Order: sequence, then C-alpha cells, then structure tokens
Amino acid sequence: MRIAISIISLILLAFLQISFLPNFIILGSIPNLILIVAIAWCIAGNFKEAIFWGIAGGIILDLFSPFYFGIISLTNLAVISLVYFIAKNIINSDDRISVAAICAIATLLYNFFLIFFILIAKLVKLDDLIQPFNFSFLLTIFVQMIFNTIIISLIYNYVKSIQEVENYYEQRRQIKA
Amino acid sequence: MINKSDSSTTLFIVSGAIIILLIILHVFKILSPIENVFIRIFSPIQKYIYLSGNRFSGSIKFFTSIKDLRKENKELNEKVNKLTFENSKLIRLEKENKDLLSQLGLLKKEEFNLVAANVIGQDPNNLIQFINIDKGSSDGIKNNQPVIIANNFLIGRVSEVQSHSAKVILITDARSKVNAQIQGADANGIVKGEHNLGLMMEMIPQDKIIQRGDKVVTSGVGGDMPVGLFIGEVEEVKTTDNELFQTARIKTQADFKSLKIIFVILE
Repeated sequence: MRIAISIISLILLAFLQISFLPNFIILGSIPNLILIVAIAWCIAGNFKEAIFWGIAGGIILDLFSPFYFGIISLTNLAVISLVYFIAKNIINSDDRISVAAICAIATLLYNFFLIFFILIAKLVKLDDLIQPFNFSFLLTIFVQMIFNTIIISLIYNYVKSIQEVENYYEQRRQIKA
Repeated sequence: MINKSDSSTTLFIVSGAIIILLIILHVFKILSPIENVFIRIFSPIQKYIYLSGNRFSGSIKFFTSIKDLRKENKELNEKVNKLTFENSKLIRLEKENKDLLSQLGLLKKEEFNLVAANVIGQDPNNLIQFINIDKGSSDGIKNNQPVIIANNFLIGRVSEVQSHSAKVILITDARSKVNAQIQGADANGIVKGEHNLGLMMEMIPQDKIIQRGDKVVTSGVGGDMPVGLFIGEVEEVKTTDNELFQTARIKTQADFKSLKIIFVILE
C-alpha cells in the first residue's frame, strides 16, 4: 500500500511538473517538484526513499526531456547523494532556515550537474544541447531556487511526519523481534 | 536526524549502475518499445493535465488583466481602424496581383502541407524551451520541420521525433537561430532566442533604417525554413557607431505559455 501510494504520487507530481506547471512559467522558471520531494526525504533521513523519488522521477522526466536519456536521473542521483552528505555532516539540523538553505544549495547543484552531464554527453557525442551561460540563464536558476525553497518549506513537515511514523513502527518491529 | 547511513553507499552504487544500464539499453534502442508504450499510455493524461493548467492560468490571467483591458481595448480599436484601411488596400492589391500572375501563367504556391498537433507538455527544467506534441513520425513528422500556429506565426522547429510524439524546440530557446528579414527595412539578420525572455535579431547591417513596429518574417535563407513565416515586430533597436551590425529586440505575437494546437509544416 505504502509503495503504491509512493508510485502514484511520483507519477502525478512528474506529470504536474511536465504538463501543468509550464503554464505558470515566471521569469523563465518553474519549480522542480521531483527534486524538492527527494530533497525533503533526504533531510528527513530516508536516503532510500529520496533515491527512489530522484531516480524513478528522473526517468519519467528523461522520457519527456529534450536531453539525452538518463541525464536528469544521473543529475538527481548526484544531487541527492551530495545533499544527503551535507545534511548528515555539515548542516545537521532541520529547522526552517536549514531546510531552505539545503534546498537552495540542492537547486544550484542540480543545475551545475545538469550542465556537467550535458557536457559529458557532448564529449561522447550523445547530445549537443549546450546552454549558453548568460544572465538570463542565471536568473532562471535564481528564480527556481526561490520557488523550490518556498515549496520545500510548505511540504517538509508533512514528509518529516511520515518519516517519524515509519520510524515508530520500525522501532516497534525491532522491539518485538 | 539522519539514522540510516550504513547502506547509503551501496544504494548509491546500485542506483548509479541501474541508470548506466538503462542508458546503455537506450543507446542500443532496446528500451524504445517500452518508452513508446509508456509515452502512448500517458499522452492522454498529459494532455488533460496540460489543458487543465492552461485553462487555470487563463482564468488567472483574465482576472489580473482586467485593469489593463480598457487601455488595451482603446489601442486595439485604433489598430482595427488602421488595419481595416490597410486590408481594403491589400485586397485590391491581391486582386491585381492574382490577375497579373494568371496573365503570366504562374500559380501562387504558398499553401503548406500541415499536420495539426496538440501540445501535451512543456519544459520540465530551466535549460531548454521546448514543447511535447502528440504527433510523431507515423504522421509524417521529421526533424527540423518548422512549427507554426494560426496565421503563420513561427514558434519553433521539430527537434526529436518518436512514433506518436515529438519534441519541438521553441524560437525563444537560447539555441534557436532563424534567418529572418525585417520587412519595412528590407534587412536580413538572425533571430535568436533569449531564454524564454524574448527574441533578439542580430547581424542587421548598419546602413538599414529600422523602425519600431516593423514586421519580422523568415527570410528562407539556407533553405531550411519557408519564406514569410511571421516572427514578430521590432520593439527596440540597439545601434552603436563603432559596431558593424545593429541588433533589434523582437516582440513576438505568439503566447508561448498557452500553446494548445500547433501545426507542423511537412514540406
């Protein structure tokens, strides 16, 4: 049941990101819902769930993306792993400011890794979609950073409460065993 | 806060291996049938979500633009009067042109072979301005074919084709380059995207006099685009004496945020 809910939510959010949000582009940018949920799981301490959201969501986005297949999934994997490391070793707190800061860093890392993997795809002649690095591009990253930070502030407590319920049942199972 | 770290390295390696395996399967086209089935199954859902978003954003736009409507209405009325006069002039000229062409034994050949398609998705990231459409190679669509909306407004070109869907890179994308012509000044140049923030026309010779409101159309230079597809109007001209060329900001008439039906020019 838990897995089914995760899969349905994932597909729904992925299609919201591909088909609904593009109607609300502001300054060339929309929020990255899949990344936001994956980062929220990461901060809540559930790396497995974060990886599931990042990779399964990334594969759906890859199918509808103009980039070479796999670039968004690889980007998500790299970002989630780094964010997990940051949340565990550097910003070891989940108050509002820490969550917002981690999400802002994650958005920057996402765009950095996306360009990095596009460049690799170009080197191995898989893709030639190189983004000119100009002011308007930096502006879209900044706007996306704001969007993502606002949305994660709204959903993080919900994700955290699910994680706490899961932790409680996990502890009970261990005590019984 | 974080309580599960022991298996994270293993999970990272396994996940990376799965993605690389999927990429290899994709390179050798082994995944293509599964990808096509997935896209076909989710196309109607995507279309429904896209149109719902479109209607919703349209309603928001309507309410937020009420205060501007009076001003816009006045401007439009003035424009209608001007265009009505121009239209009557053009009808007369068109008739004269037709008569002359028929006398010369020539036929006008400007009608395109079009395929209509629904927009089912747009840019899921910040890097590329593109749309997904629900027609593909089975409908005769090929890479690099121009894409227009009503009244021959150019909006982009096909960048990737699958059997029942295709991706279209918009002219507002930073990589898009279209050979264009300013009709009033008879000047050629290249229209480039400004990352969804507008269009710029570059490489316009300094000796050409360009004015705000001049129409910009495709020039057909290079042969990859038909002549005369409408791109927009000159909004601002940037010129300096020490440069060889001048640039112009182009205001496009197409609303790229609310595209619903588009047409791909097959030939």
